Parts: sequence; structure tokens; C-alpha cells
Amino acid sequence: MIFKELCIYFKKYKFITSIIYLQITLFLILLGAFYSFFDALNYNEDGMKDIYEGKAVYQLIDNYCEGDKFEEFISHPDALERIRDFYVGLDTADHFKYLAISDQRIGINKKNIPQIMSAGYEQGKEYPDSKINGQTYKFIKSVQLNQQAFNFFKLDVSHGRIWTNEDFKDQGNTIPVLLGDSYKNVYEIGDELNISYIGKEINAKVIGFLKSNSKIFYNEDTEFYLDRYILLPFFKYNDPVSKEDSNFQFFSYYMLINGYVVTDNETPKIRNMMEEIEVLSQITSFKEYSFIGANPHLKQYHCLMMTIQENSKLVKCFFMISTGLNLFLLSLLLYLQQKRRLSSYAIHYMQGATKFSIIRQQWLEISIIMLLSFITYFIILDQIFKLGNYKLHGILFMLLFIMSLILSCISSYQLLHRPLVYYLSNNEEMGDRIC
Amino acid sequence: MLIELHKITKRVKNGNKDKIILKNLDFKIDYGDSIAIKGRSGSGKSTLLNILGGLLSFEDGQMFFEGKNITKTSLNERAKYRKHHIGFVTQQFHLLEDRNVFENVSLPLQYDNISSNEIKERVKNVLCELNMEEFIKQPISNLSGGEKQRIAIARAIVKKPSIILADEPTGSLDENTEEDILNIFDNLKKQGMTFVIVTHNDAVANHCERIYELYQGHLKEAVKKSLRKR
Repeated sequence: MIFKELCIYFKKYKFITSIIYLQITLFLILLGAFYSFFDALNYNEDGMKDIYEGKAVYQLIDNYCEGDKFEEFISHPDALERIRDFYVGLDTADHFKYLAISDQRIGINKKNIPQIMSAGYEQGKEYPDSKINGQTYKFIKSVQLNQQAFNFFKLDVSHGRIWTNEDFKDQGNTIPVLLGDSYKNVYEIGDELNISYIGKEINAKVIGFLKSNSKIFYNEDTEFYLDRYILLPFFKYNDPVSKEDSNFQFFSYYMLINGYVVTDNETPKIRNMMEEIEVLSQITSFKEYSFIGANPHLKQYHCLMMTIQENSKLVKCFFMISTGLNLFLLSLLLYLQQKRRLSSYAIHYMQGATKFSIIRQQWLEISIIMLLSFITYFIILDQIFKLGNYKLHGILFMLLFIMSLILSCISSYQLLHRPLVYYLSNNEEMGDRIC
Repeated sequence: MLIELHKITKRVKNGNKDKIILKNLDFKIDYGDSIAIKGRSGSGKSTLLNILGGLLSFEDGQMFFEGKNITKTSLNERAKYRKHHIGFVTQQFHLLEDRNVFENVSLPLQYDNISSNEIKERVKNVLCELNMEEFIKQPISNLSGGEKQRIAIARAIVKKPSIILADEPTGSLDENTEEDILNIFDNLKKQGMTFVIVTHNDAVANHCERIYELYQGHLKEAVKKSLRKR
């Protein structure tokens, strides 16, 4: 009986039912999108605060690229020792943290690597494959991090394990690597890779996959996503065993000394940091360096966040108004829809229906529309746009359930507060055409 | 005794004041009775009918059905009472216009646990009885007033009720159709059906064995009036 009545209802009121269905669906999408927007805003802000709160971050660069300085420096017999000692000094300093980060294309001798991992993919550049010792290497994107940088950005894995202290020690020719989330379908944990890094062939072993959307702050990017990157650990190398090894180590350290210095954001501590680096520079004879601005990413990010925050007030206002309006219109639509059917309910009542069965029928009608809307919302937001999470979907489902109860109560009020038989004389479904 | 009302009082709100519609009203309906209730507009005829049909409650008094006191029954019990024992026929027919004849006539049976085959059989039979079988799939909106009233009667009798309560059953019909409907009532009366008909129309009232007049909340037995030929 209930099923039959529901079919008749949806068949008869196709248009108004479709309108209500669309309105609830749009309302849910709107709520879901706003929630996701504010959630992402808070997440980014909290993440940034978590990292930068009370800290000063300076970018350290070498000045050897000017004129003949680099040639002069590299020609010095103890150039490697100087640069290594400077890096080791930075990495082990007491008054600051040193984040060594470098993105570098590396060769890999596996052919079926997806194109999105290729070096220069985002810039539209294509690097031709190279042949080393008879092996063909394809160039892919990689980022090298020292242990302090890895810990500073609180990177974590979804599968496998993160780097440990041991992984940041030179243990021969096999290095443990972490892969971005996009590599999940390409490699498995334990796979061994043969890579070419600064002209040197290195064996690497996959130990884990980073969580999706893992990111760091690097160069001009406040959000440098690592999903398509291979992460290599930066560490202090053992003494070189050959001229080639010596060159490899020199260039490797050379990349390391362009990083970020992090200290507490207090003038004496910043001064101490600068003094310590200056002393280190004097001791190691690595004299050409400079600092670029304080908190470059934070400043950039703050400008963006301030704009977003300003706009978010407007968005919140719009959100509140549209939510209120939506709820009002939805209640009104359902109220009027049920009101015009009171005479029909009265006929059912005359023929043996109870008020409870009529109220249950009303609730089912409302609930089925809401359920269909929820399914549509879920498909659109979660499956297509990949927005929201199960917590949000759960909250919205509960909200709909409560709304269906409230709206049913509003409609039921008419049924309960006066005898149904009174609605027989006020008959929308039959009266006008008969009398 | 089929139904007995004992000292029934019914009040309705009229602005801020309570208006007494029925006052200490006593009324007895026996099996096979055909009773007409007359009265002025607003005298409480329909209210009385709705109380008999379990659609309205009352403030004071008691109501008995087949000797059982049903004054304070639950809403579910009252729904069962309407479902099994009462057939309603009204001036405005009160059919569901968006459905066809079969769906309307079968409506009271849908609320019972009756198999769909039996529902079909009973609806067919009752429509045959009223010469309406060819209309079984017709939408209600395509029918004339007289046809609609026949369908309303079919819906009332399909569940084999104990009593039919009719509120101005010919009020919306022309003379010829009125005659048809009264003939149907006469036939049902011959089959032993119990009736209470509320009407202004003396011709309709004269088809009943007993006539009552509702005046100032009380029922008084009235005599049949001879009618001039219309």
C-alpha cells in the first residue's frame, strides 16, 4: 500500500518533486562545497602556522655564480672539503635548523614511467633519454631533502615507512627512496631502481609512498606538491674514492648549500644565527653566500591568505543567506505541497487510514526525495569533484534526516491540530471540478 | 442494537466562544434501519454523521457499537471501525480525481490484508451490481456527477459495511440522476443494509423508514411529508 501510494505520488507530482529534488541537491552541493572550502582554508592556515609560528626562515644562496668566482672556487685543491665542511657546519649548527632542498632531474632505466613523472612535464619541456654504460635512462623529477627538511615539513607515508636516522647515512651504493603518491601504480615497496644522479649510477630501493598531496615550501612555490616526485635523502658522503666520485660529491654538496635557515623569530637569535654562519664561512673559507629575505613563503602566503580571508567574509555572508533562503524555500515548498494534499489525506482517513499512517507516508515522500538528492550530491561532490570527506557526508546525511523529520512535523501539524474531516470541504483535488 | 448514542454533547469553537452543536443527544440505530436526518443548515446534521462514522470526537456522552462502548477507543481502533463497519457517501463524492474507478473503489480494501485477486473480484462484482463495470478503467475526471456518485456508493459498499452514512447524497445531482441513486439505495435497503441519510430533500427522506429532525442539538422524530409532483 505504502509503495503503491509513493509511486502514485511521484508520478502525479513529477514537476514539483523534481524541483524539490534539484533544490535539495543544489543545497547539499552548496553546503559541501562551502564546507570543503573553509576546511581547506583552515587546514592550510593551520599547517602554515604550525610550521612558521614564531620562526624566521631565511633563504641561503651562494654567490659563486657571479663572474669567474665559481671557476676560481672549483679550481682550489680543497674545494670539496670547503663546501662539505660548510654544509656539515650548517647541518649540525646549534642555533638554527638548516633545510637542504633541491629539485633535480634524475635518470631512471625503466621505460614505462607515466609521462606526468617526466622532468619538465609541467613546463612543457622534454629531456631526451640518455645512454650511460649501454643503459638508456629516462629523466624524471626528483627532490632531495636532508633529514632536517624532511622532519620540518612533517612528511609522512601512506604505505611503507618513512626515513630513519640510518637512512641519512652513506651506507654504500644503495639509497632508500620515497615515492610520491602518483607512483603507487608504477612501483611497489621493495622494488630496486637503477638511477643516474649527477652522472653517477646509483641503486635505490623503494621504502614507502608519501601521502597524497604531500607538499613542501620550495623556491617560488608555497605549495610544492610531491606526488609526482621521487624523494632522495641528502647526507654527508664518505670520502671519495675516485676523481669521478669527488666531482659527484662536490656538485651534490653545491646543491645542498642553497637551502633555508630556520631560527626563532627573535632578534638576538637571528643575529646569533647570522654570526654563526659568518664564523662558519670564515672557518671553511666558503665566503660567497647571502640571505634572501625573511619568511619568503610565509609573506607570499600571507598576502594570499589575507585576500582569501577578506573574500571569505563575503563568502560566509553569502553562504548564510543562501542556506537560510534554501531552508525557507524548501520548507515552504514542502509545506504547500502537503497542504494541497490534505483533502486527499482526508479521503484516505475516511476509508480507514490512520493519522500515523498518513504522517509516515508524508515522511517517506520527503525522505525518498532527500535520499535521491543525497545520492546525487555524493556522486557529484565525492566521486566526480573529489571534494569533502566521509565526516562531511555523514553530517549532511544526518542534517537531511533531521530536516525530513522537522518538515514532516510541520506538515503533520496540519493533520494533527484539527480533524481531517474539515479538509474534505476544502478540496483541491476534486472540489472545483465537481461543485 | 447496531449503534447507540447516549447523551452526546458536541461543542465547536466559534471565535472565542464555544457553540453547542449537539446537546445530550440520544440516538439508536438498529440493524436494517433506514433513517433520514433533516434540519437547517448548521444544525449539526453532518457533525452527527461524522460522529457516527468515527471521524469526529465529542465532549460528553457515550457511543456504543454492537453493544460495545467505543467512546474512548484509540485512534487505531477508530480507524479499524471506519475501515470495517462504515461506508461513506457524500454530496461532493470525495473520490480521488487522479485515479481511475478501480483504484477508487478498491481504496478501502487496500487498507485490509486482502489479496489483489479478491480485491479485483469484489470491485468487479460491486461495479456490476451498479451497472458500472464498463467504467472500471475510466479516470474519475471523465465521469458525470451521477456516475461519480455511483462510484462513491460502490466504494462504500465494496467492503460490506455494517452501515452506510450518506451526507446529502443527491445534493449535487439532477432529478433523473437523483432518482437513479435513490433506486440504488432502495435496492440496498431491500438487501438489509442499514442507512443514515442526512438530507434537506423530503423526497430523499421519504425513501427512509424513519425521519428525524435535528433542532437545537436535539433529535425529534418527524412524520413523512406527502410530496407534490415536481
